[in-house]
Amino acid sequence: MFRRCIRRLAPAGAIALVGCLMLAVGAEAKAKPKILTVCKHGCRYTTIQGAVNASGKHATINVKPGRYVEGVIVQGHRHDGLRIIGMTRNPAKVLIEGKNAKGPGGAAQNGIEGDNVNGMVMENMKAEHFAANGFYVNHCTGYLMKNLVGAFEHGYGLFAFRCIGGRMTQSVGYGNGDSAFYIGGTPFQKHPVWSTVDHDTGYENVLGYSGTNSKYVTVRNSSFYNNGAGVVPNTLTSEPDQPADTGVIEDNLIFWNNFDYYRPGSPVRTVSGGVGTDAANYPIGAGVILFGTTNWTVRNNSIFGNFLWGVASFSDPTNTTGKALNTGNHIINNKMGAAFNDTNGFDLFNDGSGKGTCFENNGASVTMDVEGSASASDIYPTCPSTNGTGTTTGNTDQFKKLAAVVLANPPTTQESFWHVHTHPARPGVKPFEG
Amino acid sequence: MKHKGLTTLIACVAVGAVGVPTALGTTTKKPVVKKVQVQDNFYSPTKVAIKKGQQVNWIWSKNNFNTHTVTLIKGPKGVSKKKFSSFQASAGVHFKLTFTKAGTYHFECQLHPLEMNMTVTVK
Repeated sequence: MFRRCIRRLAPAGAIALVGCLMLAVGAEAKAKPKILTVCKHGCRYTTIQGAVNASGKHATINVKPGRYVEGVIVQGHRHDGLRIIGMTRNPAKVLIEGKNAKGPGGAAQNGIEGDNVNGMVMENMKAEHFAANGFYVNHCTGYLMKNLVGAFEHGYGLFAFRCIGGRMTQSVGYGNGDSAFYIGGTPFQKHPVWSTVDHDTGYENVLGYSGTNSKYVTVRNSSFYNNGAGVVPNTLTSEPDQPADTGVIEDNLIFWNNFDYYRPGSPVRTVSGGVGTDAANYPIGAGVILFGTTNWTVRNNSIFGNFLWGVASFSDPTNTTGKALNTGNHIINNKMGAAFNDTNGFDLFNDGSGKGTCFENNGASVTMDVEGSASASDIYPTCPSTNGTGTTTGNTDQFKKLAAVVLANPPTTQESFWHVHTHPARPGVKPFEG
Repeated sequence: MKHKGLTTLIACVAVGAVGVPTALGTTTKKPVVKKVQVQDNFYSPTKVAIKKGQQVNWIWSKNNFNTHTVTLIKGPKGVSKKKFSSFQASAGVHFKLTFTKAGTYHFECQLHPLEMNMTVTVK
């Protein structure tokens, strides 16, 4: 480029020469984002944070196997496109350790945190024992979290908040105090950019997937088992942009989510304060819970061996904004318990609130939780439907059942609502109930 | 190099000279520190009144599961929002600010703005 420039502009003299030089330098700078290497011994950078501080836009930080006791913070758009890559296919070999790691104000909070960084990439690493989350991005457009492990974090394994688009893939979360995977506080978008959670595994967490006010999200081709509940998009006042609106849960294996973390001595601590008001607690023993969601579709999943419900859909009457309304959800074409000789307590639960939630083609022997005077055809209409009370309270008898479950005191007595049985064996997996 | 060392020594002696009486009993007043708990998902208390020069220390509960911030949304003219806003954290940390300018400071959690907001009034 420099030579061509000189030939064209040589007659213009020295000024042109300077211009060419500047152009060349500029082009060079643009063309080569930094590549930095981190390792415990013999590298210029011995901490990931050190390399982050020296990096710029679209830089790549290669992290060699080792144990890094630190919480990494990446802040601002000057790091857009940053890639932090573990130099191994086994994420456990690049371990970011939260125990004894220090950050601003005290304990390090996240393994890697990206604040206002667009298109950040994190691959091939494991983070554990952090006060908040393993891998965390917020206020961003796009991110990739690939082949990561988030284990025994106080909050979440992989967490994205107020981001537009992004992907969590080929990753694992276990032992987390809330969920393995979380996408929440999604801003409303005129032309939505979807986020994807795919080919992931979440087990032995309070929840497998959770997303408060989660939108434009597809959760697919993943496994959620041995959690308190498997997949739980939800609407809460605590976070911006209610409700959880427009999402798809498809082609997943969702089974054995009977982890009673309320039991004394549980290896995973329960979420403090439960949800909503009146000391309501998360239900345990459920495959999918659509909690106050609008237009979520649950389709083509295999859902079995969950002792309370396979798929439950209900509103939150304690949400005074009225936005946690069970509306327009479709539960269709799922393979439920009987197909696997491993039944759910009931395959379906619906509180009859909101409008338009419907159920279709979930197997001939699908079981529906119908309480008292409730009518199955009213509560579990086929699609499309206009059924529902239109309010957040739903059918009185259905609501009574729901209240009895979430208000069970102590919460471990929720187990009295379970239909417990022995599961047929599955290779490589053992049931875990706490 | 020697000169620098000498200067440092003199400075140390001077500081020490100032510090000695303090150690002997004429104690420098510690600034008043008001504590605010940062919990899932609320601040406690939500209204704090202090005098100029006093401090507020926000303490994140060890029992939190959610990430929170203390972010200045509105304050007196000339107060830097950046300097008066915390990092993001869930548990086991604190964030202390000294208020030298009178006025009302509105803070909220960036992640839970509807539930977590509070004011500090400085007189």
